[in-house]
Amino acid sequence: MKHNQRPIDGPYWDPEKRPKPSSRLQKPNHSPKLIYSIKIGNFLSPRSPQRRRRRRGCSRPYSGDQTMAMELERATKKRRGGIDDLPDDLIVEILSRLPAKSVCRFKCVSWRWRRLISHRDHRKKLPHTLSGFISRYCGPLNDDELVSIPHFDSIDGGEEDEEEHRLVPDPSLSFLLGYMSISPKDCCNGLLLCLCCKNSPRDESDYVVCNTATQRWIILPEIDDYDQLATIRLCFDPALSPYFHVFAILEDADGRITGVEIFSSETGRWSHRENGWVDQDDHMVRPDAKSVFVDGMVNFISFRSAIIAVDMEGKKWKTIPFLEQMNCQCFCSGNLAFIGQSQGHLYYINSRNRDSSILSVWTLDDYCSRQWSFKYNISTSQLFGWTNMRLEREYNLIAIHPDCNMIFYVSRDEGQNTLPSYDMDRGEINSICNIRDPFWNPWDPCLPYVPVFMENRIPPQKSSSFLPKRLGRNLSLGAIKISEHGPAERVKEECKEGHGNINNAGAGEGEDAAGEEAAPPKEAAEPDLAMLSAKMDAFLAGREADAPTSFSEVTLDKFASAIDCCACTTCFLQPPSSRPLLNLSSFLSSSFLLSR
Amino acid sequence: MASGSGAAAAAADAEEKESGSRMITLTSNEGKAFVVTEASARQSATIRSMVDDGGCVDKGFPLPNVDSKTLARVIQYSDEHGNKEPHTVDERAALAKFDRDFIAELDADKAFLYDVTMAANYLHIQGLLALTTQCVADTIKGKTPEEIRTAFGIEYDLTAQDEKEIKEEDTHA
Repeated sequence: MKHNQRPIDGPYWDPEKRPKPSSRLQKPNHSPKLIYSIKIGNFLSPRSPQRRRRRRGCSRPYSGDQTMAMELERATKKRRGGIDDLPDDLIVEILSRLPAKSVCRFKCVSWRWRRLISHRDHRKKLPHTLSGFISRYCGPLNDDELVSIPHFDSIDGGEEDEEEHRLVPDPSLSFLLGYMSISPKDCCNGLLLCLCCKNSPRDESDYVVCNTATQRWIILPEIDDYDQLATIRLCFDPALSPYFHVFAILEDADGRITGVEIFSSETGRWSHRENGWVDQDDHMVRPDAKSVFVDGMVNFISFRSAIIAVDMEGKKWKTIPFLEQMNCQCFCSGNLAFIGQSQGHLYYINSRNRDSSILSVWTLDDYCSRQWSFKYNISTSQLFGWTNMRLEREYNLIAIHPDCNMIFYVSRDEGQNTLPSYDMDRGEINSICNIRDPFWNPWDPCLPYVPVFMENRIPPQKSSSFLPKRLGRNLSLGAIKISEHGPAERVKEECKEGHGNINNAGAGEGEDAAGEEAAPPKEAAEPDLAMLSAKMDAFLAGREADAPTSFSEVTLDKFASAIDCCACTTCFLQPPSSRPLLNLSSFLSSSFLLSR
Repeated sequence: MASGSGAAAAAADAEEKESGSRMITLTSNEGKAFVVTEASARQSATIRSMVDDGGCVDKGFPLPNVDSKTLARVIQYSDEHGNKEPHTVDERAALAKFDRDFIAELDADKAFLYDVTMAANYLHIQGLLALTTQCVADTIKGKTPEEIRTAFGIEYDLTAQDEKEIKEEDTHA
């Protein structure tokens, strides 16, 4: 086949290949008609089935026969060998191991690759980029009470797919059972940290971490020094580790940071670290301070003209001082600034001290060297058409796109909170959505959300091939995914109220099991059945007496795998060992019903 | 093994002992027979399910989609992972080193790498499949679409219309 036109090399990823930013300032347009004018993401818009059918420059959709004939022609064509010989599912498997940016670029490789990447069925397998924002919506609980409900705004103009294909199938997080009010606090690579108020007793609340894409969730144990909590942040990077961490910055009565509590989903516990930022005066952070996770460290803007960072273990403490021009001290709220991460770099955007209508954009090109480089100046007249707009008063920066030079901000326009994007290379503004909640303030969280469908990293397994080696990882959300025992999962979460001795024992067993990874599953699960069964009986008794104890996920997973084993081997028929299992099955189903 | 877990465990134990010593014959599409231990063959989910379903263990398994050269290499992987159970840190490190060397050798011959990937997919050997697909992913990671087409001899069959559509989709991404 001849192709005389130059193939395009990646859709605008490379700034050099983009058209130069137009010098003419574009007038912002907040007209609701523009809402759908931007599409970000890897996938064909679901709204245009026509477009998917069209190909090869033919503007009219093919009939079924023609399509089939062309498929056949493609299939029988002699290939030159290589990667294109691989079947579709293997190409998708390979693509799923690439960053979102590369996958998006590879749509231009060939028609086949484009079809594979754009196909809706592969949506959950392939990596994603920023897909929308999670904010809260205040809805009425009854006549005189309002509750906070999470709300998702998609970046490409609405989720019109059937529920199973949506990136956020249940934006109100109704799968978090037993909670009346849910306030999203932080979001990091597909995981969401929420403060959830219980249905009863109403004055109690939990911090919950959940994956909205897979609907797995976990309740964090209570923080010892809750009254000293300044701010709480979530950190997760599936590329670095399957475990997530939660950072709780503690402060004294004067607002000075005293230390950090770090929760690791690997241990399931909080651990305390004394303040290690010693090279400057006392640091302070605001309760709504932005934070960003770069290079395995969580970074905050301190009141003291610096970025302070700490690693996941609380061992490495780092202070990155600002250049003089980067300061913008407001005596009541510290630095008027924003930090974010894009294309692997830390971005810092501040409002200028002398002229508050200018935003300066800085990056840390090399995270270790602490050298800032200046990127852009943005005038608020570019964003709004006029200059007297002040950061954190009339508008607020909420995100930077993880894969391109684009910022997102919210502003109040004619009584409506709007969320536009601004392309820093091209100077273009696009409206994304309107914030639905009339009570929303520009400083309330509006969290950029990148879906992560973790279970696709591990292909679905038959119950008989449940691997004991995975048990050891079961305390992480990322790893809860592996077992496909529907009811058991519910129970897992239901029962997860504490991290006592049982939990530790469970984790230990998990590690032991990891040693014999090639062993068949029944070996790992069965010896403990009697013991587990006894515990389960105790639990059931406790439930009846309205005093539930707790079970670790590991323990329950073992049970679930034991049931699986029994269902697939003959031992289910044998009376002595089947008793505890029947007991367990009834327990699981009753708990499942209770949890509905 | 704890004795309290009852007859089921004992039965499973006996079965395990018996199966551990069994040998399984795999036949490539060229008719060449490879005899492997059951533990090695169980690395493949396809064969594992056939064995578990009480399949024809004695008659062996013909694999019409896999040639001898590829099958030999796949068996090299499954022997290493199936017959040895790493218990110590050193053993695990040795296995990780085996994986690294194994994939480095395959990486040198791309066509063969794809054959092994397809065999791993057909036989459902998850570890091997993850290893090979990750290797291919690493190869293509930083490349431009043009480089991918030249490197893999993929025909460029997008029309101007397609290009326009892709541009539209990605305008801001």
